[in-house]
Order: sequence, then structure tokens, then C-alpha cells
Amino acid sequence: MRKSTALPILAFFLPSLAGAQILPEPPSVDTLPNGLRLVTVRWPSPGIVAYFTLVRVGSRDEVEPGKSGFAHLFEHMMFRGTERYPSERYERIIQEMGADNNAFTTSDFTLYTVTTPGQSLPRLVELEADRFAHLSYSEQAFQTETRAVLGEYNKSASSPDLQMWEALSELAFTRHTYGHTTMGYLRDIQRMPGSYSFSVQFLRRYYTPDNCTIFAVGDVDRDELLRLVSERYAGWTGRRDTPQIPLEPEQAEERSRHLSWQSATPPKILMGYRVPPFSTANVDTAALRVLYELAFGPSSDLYQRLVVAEQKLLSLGENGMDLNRDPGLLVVDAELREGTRFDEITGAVTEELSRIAAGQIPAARIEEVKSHVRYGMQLDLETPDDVAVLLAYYAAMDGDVLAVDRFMTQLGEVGPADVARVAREYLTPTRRTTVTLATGVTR
Amino acid sequence: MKGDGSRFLGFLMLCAACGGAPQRVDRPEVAETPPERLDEPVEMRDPQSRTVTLRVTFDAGSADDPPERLGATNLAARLIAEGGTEALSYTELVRALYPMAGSITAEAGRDQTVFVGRVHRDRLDAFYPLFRDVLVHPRMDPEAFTRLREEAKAALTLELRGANDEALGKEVLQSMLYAGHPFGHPELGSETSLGALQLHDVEAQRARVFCLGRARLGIAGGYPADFAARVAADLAALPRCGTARADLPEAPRVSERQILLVSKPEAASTAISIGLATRVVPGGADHPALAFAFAFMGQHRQFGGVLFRKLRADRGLNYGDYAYSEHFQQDGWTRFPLANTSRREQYVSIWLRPVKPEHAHFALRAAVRELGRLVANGVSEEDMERTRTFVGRYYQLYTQTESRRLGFALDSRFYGIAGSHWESLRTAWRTLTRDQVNAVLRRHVDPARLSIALVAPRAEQLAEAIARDEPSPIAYESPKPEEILAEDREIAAYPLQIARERIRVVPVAEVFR
Repeated sequence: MRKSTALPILAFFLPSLAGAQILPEPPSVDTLPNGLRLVTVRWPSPGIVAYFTLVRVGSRDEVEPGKSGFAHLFEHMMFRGTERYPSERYERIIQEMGADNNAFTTSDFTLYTVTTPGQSLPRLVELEADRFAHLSYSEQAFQTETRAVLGEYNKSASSPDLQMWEALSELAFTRHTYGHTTMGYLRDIQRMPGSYSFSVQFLRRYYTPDNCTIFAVGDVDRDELLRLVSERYAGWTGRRDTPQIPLEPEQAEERSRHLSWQSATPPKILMGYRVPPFSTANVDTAALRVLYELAFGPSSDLYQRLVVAEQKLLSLGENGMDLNRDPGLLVVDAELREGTRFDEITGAVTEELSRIAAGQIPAARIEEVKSHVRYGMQLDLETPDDVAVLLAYYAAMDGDVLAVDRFMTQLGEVGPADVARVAREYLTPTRRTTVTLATGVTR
Repeated sequence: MKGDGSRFLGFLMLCAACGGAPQRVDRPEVAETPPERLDEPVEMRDPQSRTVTLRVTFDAGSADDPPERLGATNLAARLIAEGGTEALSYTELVRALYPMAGSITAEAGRDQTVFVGRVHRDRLDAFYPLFRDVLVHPRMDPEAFTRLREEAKAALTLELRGANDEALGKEVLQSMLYAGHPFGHPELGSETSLGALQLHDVEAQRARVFCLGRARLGIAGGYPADFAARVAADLAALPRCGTARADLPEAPRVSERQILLVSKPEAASTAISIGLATRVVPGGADHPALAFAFAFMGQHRQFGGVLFRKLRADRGLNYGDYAYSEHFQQDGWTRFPLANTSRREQYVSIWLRPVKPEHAHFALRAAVRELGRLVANGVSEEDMERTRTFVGRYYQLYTQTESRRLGFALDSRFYGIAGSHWESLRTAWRTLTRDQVNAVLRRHVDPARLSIALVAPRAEQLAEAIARDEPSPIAYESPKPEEILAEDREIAAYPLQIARERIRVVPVAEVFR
């Protein structure tokens, strides 16, 4: 249940790119014999603890035909209780704790987020260990929850964005599972009630201790927490399945699709460029992050020209840049003012990326971007939740719980030549997939 | 203008004639004449903090819009924050703020507007002059005005009408609760009014409402000891208000249930908002009990509430179901309220997330029936104690950030609450009795007078079914326990008792014209 991401966008994580200097002290990382990892971070938050559990499973792992949206559905099922703590009792205890309990799913991972007054932590560890190791639900409960997922789809479907992201994913990925959104196809959601036995398999295949990491942030004693976690999760066993995710062939030519929307909407455009997977082994991901700011951020020449001066756009780059485990998309979004043509915008974007590819960005401008990112990160990391989400997000990308530190190190190394090179290599029209949408008109 | 304006008023006419006997007013006194000086700033200095937050609130909102200039307050706030300063164009301002990741934003509500500045403490010296100039020397640039007016128009006529049925339902509900009242139109204004607004209107509105006598200052974080005095002195350059803020008329009393059905044939689902204007505001004697009861009914985005359990967990009708004792706006991606959206008058509401169209009548019945049961039967002793534990702990999470703590402290000033509003609530809840809660519910929540906003396909068909109180049985794809099926039978036949003339169907294109 609980909310989740319907769309493969996580812009709300992205302004914060943390690094070695971000946390007042390094996180403690412990691995239990069953493979479960515990990351503990002390963070000033009198009496409050974020206790988040990362599961490295997302819509990327949905390789079976007709099962799109299953990782997200399963996130809902995790709130359906166990034999010891049936869902009503579980909810009652969570309420008594005064905890904020939720979860969300993306294309690459699922994150369970509980924030609680610290005095409840021992009880919470017990509850979480129980539901991860002993989840148990009836077929009726499963079927009821599939209808809540349909409700979530319907909630999102009043916005044209869902339809646009569905089209962009499908068009850009002909084989890889990034070809469907995290929410899944409506036709698959409608068939979910008949997939009870598959859901039980899904639990065994992916909800295993070696596929999970706990992030505990805030007013927390690492030694005491490790003792509790070791004790409570000790009986949890299993090994993660490795699905055979089809490789996506290189894209050789530009793809595009236009959609019609029956309600009022500003014309919208998504331009997705095929980019390599998240990596800290080289500078490419960090350089793309800098490039995104340079080209599409609010201080960029393009934004100031198209949104502020010429007023051709209502918005540009609102969604920010997402990261992916596998080769994915760097997506530029824009909303057009009446009278602006889509080709004006694609042309302007192409022209700006060519200018960057030609190495015309001064080093001082790149240093401004780095400064912006560093200060932005400090401003954004306020609560235990902020820290836990950031660490989990980067850990989900390559499995290393300290990936964010290495990413920040790479960011510090980015120079003008790197930015120009990634623009030349990845942000070319032949690697682009474009989806446009407007009210009731096919162009 | 006149013709279009009357169309807008016509939309609001649904309950313009809903008079009634005045009720006891449970709200703080408003000063007759605002002093032309700042109150003592709210200070939350923390030398350990690496950030600094400034919040400047004004007792001003869309309630202050002139009748044919709806949206002027919101647009003035946006133009101040996003239009540059006398010294710097907007582009220059953005680029000055960028390397330090400093931010200056504005949020206009119905009754209060806030300007928020945030920066790392290391860059306060460079940031503060920009923040100061935005507030006291805004550029009021014609090109920026055009840009922001067009953005506001698009937000109202394209995004709200075309792409967010839930937000539309909430706005339509408020237009019903406050028909003919200054809270009756969205902060964005109306389509007609935005089309007519000119820069001079917005400049005049800025001078009239974003003035010294309506301002409050709050500062939090790692700032120097003498900083607050410096900011306060600088804000003395704000325009003078000259006249006192007008008293807010009481919300019209809705005498019986009414529905406004926004017809949207292309909608895949039905959005539902239900509400009732109350006289209960934070700081009022009855507020702790009302807030307690509605947290029990459905704390925002939590899963233990009555509505969530019955509609979503037991029946899978939708994505979530919540209840509110006052106006609520979610702060970003959190589940906590946005600060500085205070209002002199409030309303209670229920938010059902979209349901399949064929379940709309059933879901509406279920929610109205549940509210009726709450008022009639009250909260049980067991639920009382369980909710007391929940809210006493959960509300600690509201104040985790520096900016929210500061904002809420300013809200306390707005409502005339000494100390922290949330702390005073938690204190009151410790000793609250079941009798008090149930008495407050009976005093302020009359389920017979609910207003209901729906955004739905096949609106006429739904209107007829509701008016005839047709049975609305529900079928499931899986077996359900007998107690749920038995309750379903009661819900499916529950009489809403809303005559057809109390149900108005409005095409979506006409909403907020």
C-alpha cells in the first residue's frame, strides 16, 4: 500500500549529491551472516530515528511477460502483515509508536521508510524483522490490494505525465525492462488479482537478506542497534534470484511519438537521451549531472532564454536528472507556451548541446555548478529521512553503501573536457527519443 | 469584464443563498488597526546550524484580492520573489543565488503569504542583501509580470482543470464552502480576472497588502547575534499599510447537503472531497478536540485511520482516504503540513482519493455514513487512548526542520498562541476526555450540512443516481468476510438525501472562469 512512485523519476533526490564531507562522521557498515547489511549514521535529530530498508528490486526486475508493475504491487503487500502481526495489529502498533510509515518503488529499487520517535526503535526492529522474514497474506488480501494499486494508477492517470512516461519508456527500450514504467501497464494491473502464486514466488526470489540494506539514521546507538538487528533478523534466510534482464541494443536513430490528451494541458515534451548506467568507476555519470545543470538548470542560458526572456516555455527541466543501474535515459522535460512549436524546442536543445559538446563552457561556469551542488546538498540534508534516502538511493545504484561518497569524489574531478566529451558521446540526436503531447491534436 | 465576472459569481451561487443562524465564533480577535512597525521577530538562533532560514509572513492572501482583480495577491507575491530587484534583473538574481544554492520563494494562501529565504551560513553575507532587496526593492518588471501571469493562467486553466482532478476537487469544495466569501476563489484567481490583470493592479496590490503593518519576521539557524535587528530595521522600508485590514465575514451557513459535480467526460476515475466550514481555528478552545477526532478519522497519508481502513484496506476502493480538522497542504514529499497557510476561518474535510466511476456513489455514501457515525456515536474509550498515544508521538515529527519550526512559530503568532502551537496541542491532548471530543464533534460537525465536490465522468448519470438515492451495491473480485458484506449492504442503501436541485453539474471548462 503506501504510496509509491508511479513514474520513473526521482528528481526529489537529485538536488542533493552528498559526499565524504556531508556526514559529520562516517557511517558504520555491518554485514550479518545472512548477508543483510546495516548502515548506521549518527545525525542530530533529538529523539527521532529514520529506519529505512532498501530492497534492490524494482520494475527493472519484472522480466516475465504480463507482470509489469509487480515490484510496486509487492511493496503494497509488505503492509499486509504476518501470522504474528496481522495487518491490523501491525498498524495498531505502528500507530502507538507515532511512526511515519511508508514506502516507494522505482525502476531499480524499493525503499521502506519508517521514521519514529527513538524510544520505539527496539519494537520497530522486531516488527520490521518479522515482516521481512515472515510476510504472510491470504489470496483475498492480495486481491484486495491489487485494487488499491489500480486506484493508484487511476489517481495518476488524470495527469498526462503518466501517459507520456509510458510512451517514452516503451519507445526507447524495445527489449530491456525499462520499457515499462514502475506502475506497470494498465492491462497488467487489471490482471493482477490472478497472480497470487506469482506474488509468493516474487517474495522468495527478491525479499532476501542479501538483497536488503537497513539504513538507521538519527539519534541511534550503533552497538545497541547492531545487537538488536543481529538478534531479530538472524532467522531470515534466502538468496537473491538473478533475473535475466534483456540487453537493449544501441540506439542508431532518433525515435519520436506524438500523443493526444483529451483534457486541457499545455503542450508537453520529453526528450530522453540514452546514457550509460550509473558508475563511480569513471567520471561519466558525474559529468552528465553537471551537464544537465549547465544545459537545463534555472541558471542555464537555455532556461533564461526560453522561459524568462523569450517566454516560449512555461517550464524546463522540472523533473531533474534520474540515475539508473542499467543504461537508461537522461530526460529533459518542458511545457510549452501557446504558439511555441515542438521543433523550436528540440532545435534549441540540440543547438545548446552542440555548443557544450564543442567545449565552449568556461571552467569557471563548471565550478559554479559544483558549488551549487555542494551547497544545495548541505541545505537539503536536514532530517534523518533526508540522509537515509540519499544513502539508499546511491547504494541502490551499484550496491555499495558508500557509493555517494565515491560519486562526490568523481564530481569534484569533472572538468570542461569531461562535460564536452559526454555531450558528444551521449547527447546526440540519434540517441534521442522524443515524446510530445498536446490537447486533442495529432501532429 | 462584467459579463465574465458574473459567470464566475454564477458558479458560486450554489450556496450563496445558504443563510442561517450565526454560531459562536471560536477564533482570535483581529487587531482593528495594524501598527506600522514590526512585532518582535521570532528568533530561533542555533550556533550549531549550518544553514540560515528567513521567513517573512504577511497577513495577506487571496482574501485580499479586489473583487475584479482575483489572483492579484498571488501574482504580486510571485512577482516580488521571481521578478528581480531594482538593482538586478531576474536573470541576474538567479545567477547571483545559484553558486550558493540560495533560494527565495513565495507562497500565497487565502489569508497569509510567506516569503522564505534559505542559505548556507557561510554565504549569508552575500545572500542577505539579495533577500532584502527582493522584499523591499522589487523590480516589478513588466516582462516578468507577463511571464508570471501566463504561468498562473496555465496553472489554473490547464493544469488544474486538465491534469489534477484531486486538486481540482479540493478547490471546488472550498468554492462551495465559501461562496460569496473572500475565501471563495483559488489563490490563482479566475480565468477572466487573470486575463484582465495589469501590472499596475499588481503593483497597487503589493503596496496595499505586503506592507509593514501586516508583516512578521522569523529567523532561524546559524546567524550572528545582531542579525535579526538588522533585518528588522531593513524591513522598515516596506510600504506603509495606511488602513487596517478588513474583518473577514463569516462563511455562509450551508443549511443542507449540496453537491457540485464537475463534469469531465474523459476522466478515468472520480475525485471526491467533502467538507464543512467551521468556526474552530488553532488556538481556539475547541481546536484540540476537533484535531484529535479528525486524526482518528484519517491522519494525512497514514494508514491507521477509520476511513483508510474501511475504504482502502478492507475494500480496495482506492489509494487512500483521509480527514482534516483544518486546511491542509502537504509540505513537499513529506506527510507533514506546510507552514504559514494560516486562516482566520477554517473548515473540516474528507479527501477520498479517486475511485472507479462505478464505485463513486458507494464510496461517497461510505464516507458520509462514517462521519455521521463518528458524530452520533463519538470516539470510544479504546480508540481515545490509542489515538492519544498516536498523536502525542506522531506530531513530534512535524517539527523536524528548521524552516518548519520557524514557520509554525510564526503561525502561533498569527493565531495568538503563546509558545509552540504543536506543543500546546500535544499538551492539551494529554488530558482531553472522550466527552470533550464527542461534544466538540456534535457542536461543530453537522453531517446534514456537508458540501461535496466531485470530479467525474458521466456526471449527469451520477447526479440522478444520487438524487434518487438509488442503491449502489458493490461487487468484488474476491470473497469478503460476512461482516464487510453486511456493512456493504447498509452503505449501498444509505440515504444521502440530497435533492436534485441541490446537485449542480458544471462542465470542467466553466470552473473558475
